[in-house]
Amino acid sequence: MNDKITNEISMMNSRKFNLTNYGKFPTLMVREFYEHKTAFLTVPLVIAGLFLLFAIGGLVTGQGEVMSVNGSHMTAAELLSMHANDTDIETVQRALSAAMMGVGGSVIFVLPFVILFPLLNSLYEERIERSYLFWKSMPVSDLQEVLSKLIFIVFAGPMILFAIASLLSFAIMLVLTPFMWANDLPLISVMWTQTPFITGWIGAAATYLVWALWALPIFGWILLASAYAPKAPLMFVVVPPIVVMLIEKMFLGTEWFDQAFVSRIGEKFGNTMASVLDMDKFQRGGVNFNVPSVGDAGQVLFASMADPSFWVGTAVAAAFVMGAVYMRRYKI
Amino acid sequence: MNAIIEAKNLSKHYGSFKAVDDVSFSIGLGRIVGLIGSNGAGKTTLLNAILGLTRYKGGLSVLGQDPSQDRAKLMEKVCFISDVATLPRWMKVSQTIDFVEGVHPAFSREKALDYISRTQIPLNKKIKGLSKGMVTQLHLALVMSIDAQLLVLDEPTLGLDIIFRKRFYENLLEDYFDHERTILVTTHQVEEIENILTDVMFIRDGKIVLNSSVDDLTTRFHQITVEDDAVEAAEALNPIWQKSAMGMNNFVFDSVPQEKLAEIGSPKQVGLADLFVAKMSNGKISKAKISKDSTGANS
Repeated sequence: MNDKITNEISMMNSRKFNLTNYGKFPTLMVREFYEHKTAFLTVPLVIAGLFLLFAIGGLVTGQGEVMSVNGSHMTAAELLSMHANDTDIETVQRALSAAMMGVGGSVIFVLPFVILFPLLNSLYEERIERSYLFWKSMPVSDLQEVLSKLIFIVFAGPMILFAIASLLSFAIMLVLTPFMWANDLPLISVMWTQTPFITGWIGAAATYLVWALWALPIFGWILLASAYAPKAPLMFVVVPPIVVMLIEKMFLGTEWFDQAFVSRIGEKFGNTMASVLDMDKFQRGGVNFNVPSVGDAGQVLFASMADPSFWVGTAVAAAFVMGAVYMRRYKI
Repeated sequence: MNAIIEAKNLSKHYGSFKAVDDVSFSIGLGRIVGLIGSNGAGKTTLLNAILGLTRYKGGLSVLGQDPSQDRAKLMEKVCFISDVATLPRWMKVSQTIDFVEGVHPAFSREKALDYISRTQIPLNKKIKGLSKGMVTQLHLALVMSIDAQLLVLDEPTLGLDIIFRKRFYENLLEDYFDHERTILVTTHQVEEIENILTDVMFIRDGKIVLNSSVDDLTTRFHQITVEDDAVEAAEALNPIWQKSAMGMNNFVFDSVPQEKLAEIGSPKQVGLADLFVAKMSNGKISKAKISKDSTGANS
């Protein structure tokens, strides 16, 4: 018997965590995490690491950019000295908050990609590599399978990115502290007490969740394409709505489909995002920046729930998801 | 009474193509059934219906359940390996064990690790890093660690070398099979499973053309080999199949008493592969004469 394998086996017997205690659905979520570990963990960590590295490099050489605001780049020294004489604590706080959100934003920037591609492949790849035959040999229903993919990729996985963004904000502050101390900048305590590097990112995560609910029809549509597409699932996502829009425009001369669905959904979650982040008012000088908060996100959610189009969208999303379940169940 | 699978007038049509055509059969507890047919005969479609992977017409009951209704529930008692190497390529070996343990109430982690310890499969490698043979071994280890009542194997060893194939079925018999379990298996390599089967079902063009226990086969089917001068006498006994080559004529008979055959030649048992060829020859007598005096007049 191979000693190495025997050792491994004994290690496996004393496993670190016991999935059986959590039930089927958490196991499916853990599986999704394993499958998409690169997208949801490695990629954002690498970006955060690179950002941190550049920040440290910038501080050491004294000319690196810590952040860029509305296209104008600032070094750490500029940023910090800009508000060094501010007595208005609120202005300082907002500047710091904006800087922090900007820093973490480098991680959140990849969010659309780490959602789109895993979702696009979620029901497609298992057919191509034929592993659906293994999944289907397990006592897990197609509904559970499809929901686990949707919930992890759209809701649970992105939370990891917000956590990493928060961690990066914290790390940047950690790096800034000795620099500020050495340069006699008086804002160390203000920075540490006033920067919402945890609550701000929890707020941003909550904002994202509300946004994702609005975008659910799009995610559902992508799932359906993934379940259906014989090849190139991205094409099956993009082409049908374009064809419908073109046909409508050509034969009816109207843009009802576009306005009712495509633009509307885009606009809705654009508004949701903007109303919480208040990005329009964000200016370099008179910084007026609202840190995203769970409260604001909650308010938007309540407002959404009073909006019929939110429910229409949710119903459309449910129909798409059920379509994907149906496809996975019968189209093999 | 102990029917694990019961099919009544089961059909599955794709448009006008009848993949499974009005089939009725029953498989009892503790049997190892070989479902044998050529490509496109309907094997996989039939298995898919049994496993709840496809819809069908007619009656089908697997462990007392309609498989098209609740596959997830059925899979607590039924296990299957369809095709070779269907384990997800991105997964690590250890993760597959964690996963099955997490979703399957009848899975034994200890058993799985025990089976794997007897192979060279590394636990921390990804499936895509394993050889095809190893993936199959791993899949078998996972499946054998599930306390299921019915195991369905659809070409589980296709494309593997003979050593893996032999070991696969050895493991299955020695470590897994007992008379509380039922196994349904399809394969092209008929010879390799011949001696483990208790029953055989031949399927052709969506129909079951033979359904028999192996014990019955040995008393029912015989073959004789005669020289040219005895051909007429042999043909008079209604062979189901005949082949003539190099002056030797081979006949296969169904339900012809051994004593009668002994008058012409020496009756022998028919191998499963030969019987398969005989039954697959469109039910009619095949006179594949390649004899020295072949005139080409036969078709």
